Order: sequence, then structure tokens, then C-alpha cells
Amino acid sequence: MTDEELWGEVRAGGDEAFGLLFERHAQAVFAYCLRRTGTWAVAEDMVSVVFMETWRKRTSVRVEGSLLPWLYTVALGATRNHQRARKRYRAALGRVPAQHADDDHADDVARRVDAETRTRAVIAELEKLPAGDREVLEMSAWSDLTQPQIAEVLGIPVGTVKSRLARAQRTVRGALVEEVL
Amino acid sequence: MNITPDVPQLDPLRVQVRKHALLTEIDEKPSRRWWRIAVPATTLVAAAAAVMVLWTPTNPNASASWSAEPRAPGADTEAAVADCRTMIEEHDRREKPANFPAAPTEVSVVDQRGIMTLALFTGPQSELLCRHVQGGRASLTGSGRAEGLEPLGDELFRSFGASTHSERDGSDAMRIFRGEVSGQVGKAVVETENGLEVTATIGDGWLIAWWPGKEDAKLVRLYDRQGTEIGTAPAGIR
Repeated sequence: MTDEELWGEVRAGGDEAFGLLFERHAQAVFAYCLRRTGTWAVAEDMVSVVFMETWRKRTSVRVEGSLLPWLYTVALGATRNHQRARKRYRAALGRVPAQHADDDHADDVARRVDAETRTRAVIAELEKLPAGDREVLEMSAWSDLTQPQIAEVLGIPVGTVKSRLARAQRTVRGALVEEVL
Repeated sequence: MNITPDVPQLDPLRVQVRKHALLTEIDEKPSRRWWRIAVPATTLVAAAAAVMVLWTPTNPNASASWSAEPRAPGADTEAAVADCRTMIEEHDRREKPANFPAAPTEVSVVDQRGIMTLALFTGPQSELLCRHVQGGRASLTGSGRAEGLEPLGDELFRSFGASTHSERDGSDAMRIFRGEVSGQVGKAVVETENGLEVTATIGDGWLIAWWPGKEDAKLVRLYDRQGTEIGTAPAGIR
């Protein structure tokens, strides 16, 4: 079944269809949130937040083709909120040691730490960009969305997406290498 | 450095746990929402009801200005009757069942005591009693019959009985009495169960009177135009 068909059932109150959509897109939303936040646990929580918000607005959301553009829209908002809160408490958080050793499975812990380390390094570079440019670059690199879809998610014209993407690429070139750019 | 750092796949088991938690949360939402809406809504309705009771515009207390004798028509009489007529006309424009008696248009008698004016509109098929209070609002009470009223004949009086009226909150209760009278009758006094003697207002073959409280009328004493008592009649409807 396509997203559109499943969404039709969701709008009629079908939580089973919603569960299928969750299984289908949880990984993509998680990856986006992890790359934006750099924290595995936060990203996992945000997946739940994104889908809860999507369920809450199911009667007003229209899905054409894929549900992903909408999910990215919500994920963008959720991660923006997270970043604002993080900045607010950055000074306090800086004094708190990072907690990675909260799992008994060494391999899994290592996997998580690696992922977090990689994403945080990227985040540190991307934070040098203006917020608008950064969001366009991230959306372009981390999602399968087309530029018109990115424009819709970010609520900006397609031309702005193109110009911001070009500017962001020029800025980060050298520090970041990305084959999809 | 790669701008798209690899992100490991979520553990399928964790995805299922998250999904289960999500669906459980979704299932619980309606009942929570029900309380979130119902409780404030109930509070709101209760508050609105209290406000209605406290703030519903009520007429000034007509009973406080009541007198056993009706007063002479004053400057306010014409305006009160005009208000009543407007109300009847508005009432008459509403959709009515077939054979509904036509609304009366003639004012037969106007009784004024203190700040209250009673205007009895009569027609071949119906009567409408308009109660108008200065500084307040008007209300209508009516009765009618498609076949019209039976002629009074030799009788001096025919009672239509007394009805109780009050404000919406039950305050300022009063009884309004009306009946038909013969042309021989120049004056009528209504005796009530609590001992009041209320001089009725007579006009065009009709009489009306009112008094504060809920006590019923007991009997009606009838006088000719010279003031001679010509009979008494039970106040109840025969």
C-alpha cells in the first residue's frame, strides 16, 4: 500500500495503518533527527514526537505521494525547538559529563557513540552557517526530497532553496565533502 | 568529513517498542481529550447558567407599585399599548398551524397599576393579554378558539379565571384575572383568597385585574354604573 492509501485509513481513524507508516518512515525521521541533534536518545524521542504530532493533525494533513515531506516538516520544527532549548542551557550542559555508558551491550554502545561523534562533528561545521542556509543544506543532503518539496517543508520559494543551497555549499566546501551535493 | 554521517539502523525491536508505545498513546488520547474538554465545558456551562440566573434582565418589581384601584391612563399608556401591538404583530408573522385563530387587533381594556400596564386585545376568535412593565419588557398570554366565543346572553359575568405570572427566576409572582361582563356592569371588585379586594378595569365587555402573590380569586362582586351591587359571581371558570 502507498503512503497515500495508508493515510486515507489513518484519517478514518485507522491506527494499524499509522503503525505501518511508523515502521516505514521511523528510520528516515530518526536519521534526520540524529544528524540535527547529534544525540541518539534525543533523536529516538523525537521520532515519537513527530509521529504523535502527525497523528494529532491527521484530519488537516494532506498526503500526496509520500508522507515524508510532512514528517520532515514536523521533525524540523521539533529539532529547532530542541536546539533553542539546548542553546538556552548550553552553559549548564557543558558542565555535565556526557553520558554514553548507559547500556550493557558494549557493541551497541560503541555503535551509538560512533554515530553521535560523527554527527556532532558535522553539526559543529554546519553551525557556522546561517540557520536558513543550514536547514536547506541539511534537508538536501539528508532527505530524498526534491527541491520543490524542500521548499514546501521549509515554507520558502524554490528559488530561495536553490540560492541558499549554493551559498551553503560554497561556505562548507573544503570542510565537508558530500557526494550528494 | 562527510556531510551525511552514517546513521545505524534502529534496532527493529526498539522500533516495535516505540510503535507499541505510540499506538497505546493514540488509543488513550480520546478519553483524555474527553476529560480535557468535558470538565472545562461543564464548568463553563455551570458558570454560564449562574450568570444567566444572576444577569438575566428582569422587569422592575411591578408588585411594589401595585394598588387595589387601577390608576387613570397616563402619558405612558399609549407607548405601552404600541409596544404590545408591535409584539403581537411580530408574533402573528410566525408560522402557525392550520385553523390557528387569527390574532386579535382591538384593544378592549387597559388596566394600569403602578408601573405595570395590562392591555387586553380581543378578536372574534381569540384574546391576547399583554403585560408591559415600565423599564422592562412586554410579554403575551393568549387564548383562542376557531369557532369564536359563545355570546354572553343574559349573564352578567363569565370568568376566564386567574393565571399566575412571574419573572423567569420566579420572583414577583402575581395573579391576573379576566372575564367577560355584561353591558350592565359598571364596576367589578374581585375578592381574593387572602382577603384582597381588587377593583377591576372594565372596557368593551371585558374586565381585567391583577394582584401580587399566588392566591386565587374567590368571587367577583358586580355593580351597575350607579354603584349599586347587582350580583356576585364565582371567580372560577364554569
